[in-house]
Amino acid sequence: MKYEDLELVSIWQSPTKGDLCHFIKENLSNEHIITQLFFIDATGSFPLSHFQKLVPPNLPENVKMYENIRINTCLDLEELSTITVKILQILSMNKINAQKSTDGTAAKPLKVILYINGLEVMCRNSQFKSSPQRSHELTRDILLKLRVMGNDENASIRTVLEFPKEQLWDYYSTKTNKTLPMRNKRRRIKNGVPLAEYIWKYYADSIIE
Amino acid sequence: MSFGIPLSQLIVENPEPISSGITRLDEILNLGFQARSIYEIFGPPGIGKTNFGIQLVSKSLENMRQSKSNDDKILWIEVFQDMPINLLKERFPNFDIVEENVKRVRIMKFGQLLYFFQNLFKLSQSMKYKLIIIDGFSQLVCDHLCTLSKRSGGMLDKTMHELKCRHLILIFTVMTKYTHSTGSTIILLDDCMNTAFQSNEFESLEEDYEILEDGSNFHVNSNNERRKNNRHILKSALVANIAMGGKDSTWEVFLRDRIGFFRDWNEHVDETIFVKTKRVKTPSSQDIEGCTIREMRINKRNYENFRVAIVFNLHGEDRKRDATKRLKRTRSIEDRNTIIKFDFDKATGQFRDIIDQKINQKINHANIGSIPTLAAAVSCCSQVLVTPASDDDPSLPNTERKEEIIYDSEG
Repeated sequence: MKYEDLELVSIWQSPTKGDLCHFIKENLSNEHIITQLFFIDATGSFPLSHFQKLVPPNLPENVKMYENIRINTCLDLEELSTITVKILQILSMNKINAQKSTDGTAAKPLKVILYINGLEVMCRNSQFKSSPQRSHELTRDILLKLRVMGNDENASIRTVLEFPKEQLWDYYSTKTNKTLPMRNKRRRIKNGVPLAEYIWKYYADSIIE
Repeated sequence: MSFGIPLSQLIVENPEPISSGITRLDEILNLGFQARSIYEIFGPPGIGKTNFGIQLVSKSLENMRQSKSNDDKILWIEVFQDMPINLLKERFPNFDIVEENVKRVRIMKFGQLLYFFQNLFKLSQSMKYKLIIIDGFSQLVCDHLCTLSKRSGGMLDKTMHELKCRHLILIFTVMTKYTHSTGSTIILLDDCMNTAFQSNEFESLEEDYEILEDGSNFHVNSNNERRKNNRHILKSALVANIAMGGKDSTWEVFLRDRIGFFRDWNEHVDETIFVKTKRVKTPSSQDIEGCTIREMRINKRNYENFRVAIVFNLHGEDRKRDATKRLKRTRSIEDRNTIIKFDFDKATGQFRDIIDQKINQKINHANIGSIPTLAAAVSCCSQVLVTPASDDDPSLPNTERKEEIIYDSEG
């Protein structure tokens, strides 16, 4: 799965460590285009050992790749919002620099992949800290910003959100034409829709399987 | 303008994992207990959780001594049990290194622990602990839940469970923040609980159970639907307490690994067979006294008692790949978890792989039976034995001999 094939906001349901490492390697190994991956995570789940096996860090051709992956720990939506704003600033700066350089030696285009894992943890923490309303507002705000920036032709950003498969019941039931068991339906009415399904319905363009 | 830690920097700055001293466990944990992570170790009383914690402390101190660095401090949080500092005194006759680097604090309330970690995070730039061990974390949580339940006059189970999840998320968030900012490792030493899912509807006993026609006269569960619930499972006391429910995965995401310590036994049948004779009165007796002489063949069996560590795959590859299957509860537990045989080595006073011990024994005593392999270990670890609470000393002899009658044959 290449950068060009990614939609503005995609959901990746439970990728294996191997798949994730291959995805990163495939997208960051292009020498002509600088692609930066921002791995934002609530629980420190970057598959470091797998990635080191797949992409040996001691090889000179891989050094750049290791520089272009940036790890961020983020435990609530306020922090995620700050990080998102910073990424958008980076893209804006890059855009301005590209416009300024009229001598033809334009800087290499920058592409950003934003990989977010543990959004539900961040949401829950924000609910705990402030209120469910505030948490909902922040989620909408962050995802809208990312979509708006992704739509800009000069600033390239693609967002991938990782969610567990269990949170996408609705998606699978519509896909396989299976109706939800009555007990689950009752539970959903009581507990509400999982965050993954909410994002899938209103913000995401595709689900990566 | 940039932010976040580049992966290259993370690799350079990432501290070495803390070795457990059990080779196979280290292999599974990717060279040991990783930095920036929280681990849970649980098991029944007397299995040696505290001793294992002490072993981790001494391994860290040994590393410190070898690298001659005094920057890495260790924090031991006592809950209801004092830290067995005398064990460290035995291992480090020069006690200065322990006094300098190992700090102790007693915390007896959940709220205190939360407040403590919040302050620790604020001071993380000046106070860095490489290793933090909380001995009795689950007791703290259980006490907290009991207090909340009593105060509210008996909350509903669901409400209690939700409350537990919320509070655990809160404390694990602060802990994660601390581990990520300082690169430290947190080990939670927890108790385990025996959960019984058997229903107490005695009226329907006859409907649900039947007597097998094998002459055993034991009731067995005839209802397949209920069979899966009719079992006892030893679970972490963080999961199995007064607030049980189905949302534990919400806080389990913060744990890197959960390791359960249990006891198991391995059986070696000695080749020596003893033959006992016994006089039995029968109507068709041929000898003078009206008795038949029966021969009883008796095998000497060795029941080797040892420990097993089960590394539970909380969020591993299998779980992800078979997420839909898991919803249907079709996967067996062996698919997801790894089992390691280990035990207390009296010679070194440390926990070690049982395979290593056997190899050592083989060197000392050439005439020994087969060495148990890991495959054998996995196959023999399906049963879990709970030891009585009085068995607190891990240095107790772990081999006992029992006589067992195998079969009897006439004449």
